Amino acid sequence: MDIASYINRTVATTVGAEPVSEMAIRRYVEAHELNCPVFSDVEAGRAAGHGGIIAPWSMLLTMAMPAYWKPGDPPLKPGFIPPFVWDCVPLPGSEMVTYSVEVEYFVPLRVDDVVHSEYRVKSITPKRTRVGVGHFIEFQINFTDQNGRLIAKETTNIFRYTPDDETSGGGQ
Amino acid sequence: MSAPGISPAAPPDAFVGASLGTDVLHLSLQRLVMVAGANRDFAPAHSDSEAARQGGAPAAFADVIFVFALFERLLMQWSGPRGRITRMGPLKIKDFLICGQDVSSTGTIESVRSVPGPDGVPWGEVMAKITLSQPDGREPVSGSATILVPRARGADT
Repeated sequence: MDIASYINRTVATTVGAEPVSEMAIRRYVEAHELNCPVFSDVEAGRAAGHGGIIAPWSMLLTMAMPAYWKPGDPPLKPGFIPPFVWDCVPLPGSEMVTYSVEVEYFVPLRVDDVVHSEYRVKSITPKRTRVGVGHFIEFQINFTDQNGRLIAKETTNIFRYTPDDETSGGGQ
Repeated sequence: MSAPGISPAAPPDAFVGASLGTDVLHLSLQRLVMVAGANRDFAPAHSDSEAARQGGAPAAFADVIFVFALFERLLMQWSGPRGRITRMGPLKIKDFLICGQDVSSTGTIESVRSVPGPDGVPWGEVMAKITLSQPDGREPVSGSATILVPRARGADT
């Protein structure tokens, strides 16, 4: 396997499972008790200069997530995890943890936006840590809307590893 | 608990060293289930404590999207509805934000500068360090965030 061949190239693209909707925003606001009117009140959104309601900034990753299952797909296996594509680089290791993450926002998400994600690998670094031996993989993800407009950029460092001890953990 | 409203009548004071206040939310297992339904992170460790223990955590714990939402609660509580978050992170996840405890979000302003705002007049670009802590003394998450607010008093440093 030539790890270097993955650096600085697009390794995956995905599309959010559904467009941003008032229903999805309402449920997200409710679950997190986000007490800010721009997420629910059109007039408040206009008064804040957004032209209407916007989605919470933190909701980007939810709206970027592809579907877990679609008609025609095989059944989900027990213990399924979110369909982000952190495993698109074939490195050894049975475990993955998020070490650090950063998102830069350029425009807010609005109703009917569809989030497209483009994953690029910026670096791969072998490392032994307290939980095991593996690789740090730095991804940059560009998020665009249905019109190709750049919404946000994410930089995430994933540690993919083989645990020294099966009970080791340490991430979210 | 968090302030009842997050719509201050005027832009907040923004100067280096100022506090963003405190936001507290109880992380019950029920809350984690509610959040998973809304943010679509259905990884078992975020709503099933036994699954979390199998991965080395002491109990079900908050996912990354929830962590971002906790940052957002604090930032928008401080800024009011005109605040515009431009960056969250880099944030370091050092430990698990586990259920069965409160999580307290606090922040301190580290820099303020004047930048062109979305309405064509100068706004304050405020960068703060945010920490999420739990009553057992751990600080599982820390990181920075940047938010634009209408021209804040004392904005330039």
